[in-house]
Amino acid sequence: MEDVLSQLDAGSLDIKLTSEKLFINTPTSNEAFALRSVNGIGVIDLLDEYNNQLTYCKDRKIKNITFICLGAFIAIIGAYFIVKGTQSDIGIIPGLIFTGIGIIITLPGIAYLNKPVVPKLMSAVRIMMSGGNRDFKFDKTGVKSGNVAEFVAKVESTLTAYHKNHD
Amino acid sequence: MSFWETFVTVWQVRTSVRIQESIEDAALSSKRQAELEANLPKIVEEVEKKNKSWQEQLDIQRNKGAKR
Repeated sequence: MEDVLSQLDAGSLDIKLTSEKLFINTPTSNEAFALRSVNGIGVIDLLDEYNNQLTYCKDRKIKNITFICLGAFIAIIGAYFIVKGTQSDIGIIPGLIFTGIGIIITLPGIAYLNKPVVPKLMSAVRIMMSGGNRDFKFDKTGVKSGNVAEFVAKVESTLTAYHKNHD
Repeated sequence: MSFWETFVTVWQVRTSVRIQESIEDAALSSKRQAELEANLPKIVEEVEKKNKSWQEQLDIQRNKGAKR
């Protein structure tokens, strides 16, 4: 049985470091890496993803404002038809239909503006191996980010010692 | 249609497709560049905000490891 040097439980990311191996468990994967194949460990910010999120949110906001304006415009036309309908034979039904359609178009946009999606910059623990890199996402401002920092520092020192002893 | 006429027609079609694709690529990359430039101040602000406390935490842990 190998000694467990350090263990990290950061919510969806569970990492265990032993004297010979690194075990990483996420909700979708269980992986084990031999320390001899690990060249280094690092932390990166996922800027591309954050940029895409920002762009998506901006586009969505513009689309919702457009829908609100369109819906309001149709509702105003509906209101105009209601007023006109009371004075003529057309009746208020067409006006009510227009107003209803306008309100239906406006509602999702208003709901989004009241509760917008906030983009979040995520980070990843990057494990550099001989065959390529593996990234494991986490949030630097999360409650367990201190544990991740402690773990990264521990792996750094363990890797240095491991390669010094085995090279 | 002779061989030469077929050859020229195929070449014209392929060249026009290539030109269209390169125009689309150029438009897409300039759009992405503009989006990135528009988002850059927000990205920089967020990176600075998140990394300040993270770097402090990491330095503390590294110093702890060095003392041991």
